[in-house]
Amino acid sequence: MSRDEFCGDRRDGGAPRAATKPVPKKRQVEFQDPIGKELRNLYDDVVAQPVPDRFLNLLNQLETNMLSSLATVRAPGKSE
Amino acid sequence: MTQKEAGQSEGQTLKAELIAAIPSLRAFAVSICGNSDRADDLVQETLVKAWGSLASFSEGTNLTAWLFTILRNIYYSEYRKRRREAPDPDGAIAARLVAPESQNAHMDFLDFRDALQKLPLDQREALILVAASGLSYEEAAEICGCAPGTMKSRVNRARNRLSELMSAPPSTRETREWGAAMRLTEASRD
Repeated sequence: MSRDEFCGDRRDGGAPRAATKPVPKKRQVEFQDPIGKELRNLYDDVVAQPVPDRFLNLLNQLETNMLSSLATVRAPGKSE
Repeated sequence: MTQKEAGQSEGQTLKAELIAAIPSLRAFAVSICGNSDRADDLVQETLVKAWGSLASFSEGTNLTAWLFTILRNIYYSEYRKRRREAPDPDGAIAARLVAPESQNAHMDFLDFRDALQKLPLDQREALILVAASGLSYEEAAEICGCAPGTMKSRVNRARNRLSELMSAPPSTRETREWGAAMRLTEASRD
């Protein structure tokens, strides 16, 4: 798994409701002992990694499937 | 707006929200299963399932928590299947597979990741959801289908067990001393 810094670029041009860059959420409970710190490090390391292409491709595929199934259900050009 | 356009914008929004949730989902998956390849397979399955069952997602609720619930269900069904195939009631075999005792015997402290994987699953997920993902006890309890009080006690047991696992050989050191030892390590590190 790559350890690159998350670059936060938007791949689509739209303005999504949720920001693409993960904003570190404030934790409800913060254990200040070494275990708490280790857990946060382990977790935040992964959170900081860029989203692998396989997931972006997967979501694009799911979106394409959804749109094409919509297009076959509705007659093209017909609107209410 | 035509149906197609509506579908398109709905798809875009949903896609963006799912993409935004992926980093947390991956972090949750890898902490719970301890293997990054397997974690990404879990994330993939979760995304497919989530996309297909959007009807059951109520707008305004926490998407990440909903995704965690789906991932957890997938992980549990795999976990049960595996246990049926190779009964391992105490997780002893699984624990050995993750961290051979002999390799760690020379070390004072068990590697944190290995120690985490030695926790019983219910304790491990409780600890990760609360102490790493940053959910409240109530949110975590909802994901695991238990009472907030149960969640709290699982987190406490997980923390105690972890400090036992990470302490030097139990024969030479009292568990309770681990806290003091770690505070010292911490102080010298800073």
